[in-house]
Amino acid sequence: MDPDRALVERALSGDESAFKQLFTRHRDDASRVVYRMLGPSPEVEDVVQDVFLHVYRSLHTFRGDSRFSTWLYRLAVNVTRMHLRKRKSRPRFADVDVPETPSEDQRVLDPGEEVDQRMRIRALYDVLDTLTEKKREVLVLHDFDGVAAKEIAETLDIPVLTVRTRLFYARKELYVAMRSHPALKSIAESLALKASAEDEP
Amino acid sequence: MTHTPKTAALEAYKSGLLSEASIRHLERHLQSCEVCQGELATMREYDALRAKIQLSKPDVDWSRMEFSLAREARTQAAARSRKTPPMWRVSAMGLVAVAAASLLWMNSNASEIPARPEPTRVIAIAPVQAARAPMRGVVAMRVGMASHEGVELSVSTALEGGTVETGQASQLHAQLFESNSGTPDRVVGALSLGAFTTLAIVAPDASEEEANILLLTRGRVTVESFHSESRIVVLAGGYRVVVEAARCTIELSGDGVRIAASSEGRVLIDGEALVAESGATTRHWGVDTSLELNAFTALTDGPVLSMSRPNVVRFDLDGVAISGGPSLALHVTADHHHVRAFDAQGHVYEANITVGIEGLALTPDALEPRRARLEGYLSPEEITPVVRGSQRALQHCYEQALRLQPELGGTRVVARVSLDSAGAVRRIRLGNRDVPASVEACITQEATQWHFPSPGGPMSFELPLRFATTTGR
Repeated sequence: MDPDRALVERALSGDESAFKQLFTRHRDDASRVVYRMLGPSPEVEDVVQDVFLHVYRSLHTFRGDSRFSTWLYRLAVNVTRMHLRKRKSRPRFADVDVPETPSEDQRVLDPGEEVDQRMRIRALYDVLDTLTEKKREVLVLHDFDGVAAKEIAETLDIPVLTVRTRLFYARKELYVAMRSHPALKSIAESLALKASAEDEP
Repeated sequence: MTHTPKTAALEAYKSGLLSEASIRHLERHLQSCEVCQGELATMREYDALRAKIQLSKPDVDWSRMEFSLAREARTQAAARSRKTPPMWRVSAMGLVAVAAASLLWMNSNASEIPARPEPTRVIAIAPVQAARAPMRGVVAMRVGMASHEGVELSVSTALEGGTVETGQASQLHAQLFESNSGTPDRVVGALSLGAFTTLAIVAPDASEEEANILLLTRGRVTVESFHSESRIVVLAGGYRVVVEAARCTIELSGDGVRIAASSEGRVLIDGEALVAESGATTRHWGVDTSLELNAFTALTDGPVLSMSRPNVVRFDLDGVAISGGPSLALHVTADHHHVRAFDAQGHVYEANITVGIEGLALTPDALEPRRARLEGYLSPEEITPVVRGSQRALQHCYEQALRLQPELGGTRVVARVSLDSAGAVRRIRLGNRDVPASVEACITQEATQWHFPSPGGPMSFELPLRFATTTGR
């Protein structure tokens, strides 16, 4: 028996410690999926919190047909998806360069390379925002979260073939968008130059 | 005619799925096709970025979340108890009540349960005045000088509010209203934006003394001791921004002003088509000492622990990082505690202490230097993705041996991996003597390519690898 299911049953029957165990067992997984869907963003913590609020509110609807982790995963995906939709419906934030003012010790610990990498990851998530929701979520779940196509199909309730098709076109569109994004374009160009230089006899 | 990149073929090429003949064919094409070269470079860049994302771990403050969830659960339970629930909701209510109880249980040590916040109070509701202004990221406000019984008290407050988005310009303004002075609205600071930006209020036309305490306070200093009650107003065109604070503690030590405070709060935005709410935890630091308590739930009562050591920039109490220094005083539980202090040069000092009910003043000498190199740590969640990335290569190592020794069968190998402080593999040793030397060499070669997140110091871990002989992948 799925040990989580036993915890859910105990929690529903009033065992206080069971909730704590469910929370501590799954909080890292939940935060990871939210993080990978949202990217580096201060919203992550709020969305993770929202996920667990949903868990508390809907635990009684968990029927045990699937594993609790799968149920929670779907819930996390759905909550994050709702958040992304809400974000899209808001006035779009035009990103601007803002000088960061890290604290003294952060300055020591944050080498330029790390900052550069972080900016590129942010840029990648900006590019991801240009994809349709359907393509974006398949891409993120598969490429960032390492979920197999079959599981994605179950989570999103779509055929596996659809997952693969969306994945292919999502990547294709992403590559095009990456090549036109200023922060990513230069890297790709330098990689191409490097590759062609290496090919030279 | 524009050439369309051979995305599918390049994906297969990159993943090593093409036959040798196809590889030769594609590589010939690549030599003369800039479009496909660019596509391949973009793919590699994407692979590098997503590998980095897979290794990244969100920085989540669980203690704050537990606290907030408990509060939410209580709110829900209270709200539902005010009305007769439909039958189908009874079980859910029970659930929420249990959730509240269980979340409180999470802070099961009674002395560590943070005081229940006062009912959330709206500090300010701003009229819509400014031009449309988008703001995103951390909202931080700093105000304050006040006095209490002749002791000058400086207070700073930051509200970290996840993402707050508004219109199309680029600044927010914080205005301070003095409720009893009749001073007209006056801008005391401006906020800039950016997800990773720590925002500081600049007070272009107001000295610290002219500002006032922003939040409700609890603890030794009461609201009555401040000059006046102030309201903070954040204006973002088109939207009404409400800053709420529920809890804030301020403490003084005998030898001067020290602040140890934490607070729950939120930023609420009410706009044309938008009602957004963002949970926020306030952070406080002393104006002079740059003391900053990040994600720290301070107690409002109990013995005072004061610590001081020159050049220290950060303390760590029982694993909770408290930025700031070189002096700190805060309420703690009467108990055994572990203190660490870090200076700007990377030196670490530590002490195991016992704080009695009368409190403890920790002298600089009591914080003993420890060896400079800390033992590193990586969680399984940080290790697994790196290893998983090599899964196919590792399996390939074993399959090669199987071709030579079909009788080999499945096995389990425990690898002892040593990392340096940067996360690079320093040494790997396989614990299973039955593994053929070729497999061991192959696995070792693959493993030396791993690069983990920095563990903060050298570390070792054991990695069980299981090889099955089933044919399917």
